[in-house]
Amino acid sequence: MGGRPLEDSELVELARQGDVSAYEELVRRYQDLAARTAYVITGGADAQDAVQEGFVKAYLSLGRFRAGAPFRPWLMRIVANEAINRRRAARRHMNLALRAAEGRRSEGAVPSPEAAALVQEQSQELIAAMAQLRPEDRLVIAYRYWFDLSEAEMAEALGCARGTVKSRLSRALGRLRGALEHRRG
Amino acid sequence: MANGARLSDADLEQALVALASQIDFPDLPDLSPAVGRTLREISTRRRHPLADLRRALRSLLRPALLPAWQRVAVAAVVVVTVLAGTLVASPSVRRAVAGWLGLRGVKIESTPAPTQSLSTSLGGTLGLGERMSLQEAQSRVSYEILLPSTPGLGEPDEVYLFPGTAGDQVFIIYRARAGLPQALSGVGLLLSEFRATIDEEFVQKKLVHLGTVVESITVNGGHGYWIEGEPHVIQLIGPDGHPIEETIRLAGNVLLWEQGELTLRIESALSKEEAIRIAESVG
Repeated sequence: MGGRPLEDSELVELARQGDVSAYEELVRRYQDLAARTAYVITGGADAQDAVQEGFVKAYLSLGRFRAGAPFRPWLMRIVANEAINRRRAARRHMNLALRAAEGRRSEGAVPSPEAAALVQEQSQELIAAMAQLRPEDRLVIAYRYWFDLSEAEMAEALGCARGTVKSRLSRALGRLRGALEHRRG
Repeated sequence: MANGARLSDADLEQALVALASQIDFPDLPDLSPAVGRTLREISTRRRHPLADLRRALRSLLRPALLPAWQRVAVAAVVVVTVLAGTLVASPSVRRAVAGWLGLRGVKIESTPAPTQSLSTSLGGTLGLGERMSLQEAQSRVSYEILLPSTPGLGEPDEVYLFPGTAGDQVFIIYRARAGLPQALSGVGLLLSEFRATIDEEFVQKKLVHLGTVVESITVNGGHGYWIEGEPHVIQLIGPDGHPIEETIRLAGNVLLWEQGELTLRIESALSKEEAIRIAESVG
């Protein structure tokens, strides 16, 4: 295929005019990130449904997408809303899972089995505390530390003013800390 | 971290960053074909089929997507498609043609005549969920489905149940007719019912910002809004107190009001007075 890849904004514009193929390209570009976003909220089987439905809803809502605005955080917000709603409807407890220890490779030196076990235990503790948070708190933490979103992107993805991103993050971290300490008794 | 003193902020942040690589995020299959299929189904029925063909042709011939020889070849295939619709109606032929051109993922397909889709289903185009009888819908929701009794409106033409993310939503369609102008693809009025309340802040702040005209009204003693200017989305508050974003299905005006435990919504091309007259007969 010749030519340069189209920018998000060009694909969005084509999709707004009804070009589904252009939108499919956007789906391919962002489905992994969307899946991770949904997973942070649902933690399980509903993630795929939330992502698929989120993409359809986003397409149907393209009319209200501000031209020139970044597509990625806007989409994440729609997918996150979809995942939050699904999770509530299903009334399931969310459960984030860690990869099996042997499947991970940390950078640098290979840790001893004891060190690896300790890291695994700490991670389990942290992720269990994450799972106790409200989805909105998990999202703000994931956006910042797992998906590396900028403050502007976080504001868009969370649907809040840019000035309140820091305080939201700080409150979420406070609650995470509380959950950790509670777990330790 | 597991034991001992309180974590410093820096330690906590570092631990969170390290955690990212350890989370077992799911590997989903490529969802673009499924999403595309759904969207094509919606858009094909919303528009005249030739518009889709023209759009497909335009998008396929975009220089960024295809080299020149393929553009010529695609144009030829599309022309042949138009001339010999019966031939291309076979899925295997379509797949083969797309395969020759290296166009995996590009669908060249004949579309049903609009009259056909209208006669079979009005709401199949709108993403309203599962179509069923009014009785069946009633048996599946925990609230009483309310219907308007305005003379001349008659019985609902179609009823859908949308398996809601925060509770089930019922959609009721009335076909366009004399006195009920068409809002979209043969649909004159779409009534939706949902156990929820109106998100006042969203209506008063965001909707107004989006360039719609919002007027506060009262219907059957319940509080509501008349929203003009083709809003694309509204927000309600579900039974659990959390916001639910709702896509407006028709290109028209929206009457939104609370009645009992429900929030009802009429989408139509009717004037405010006409829409309120119908809403006031709902019970």
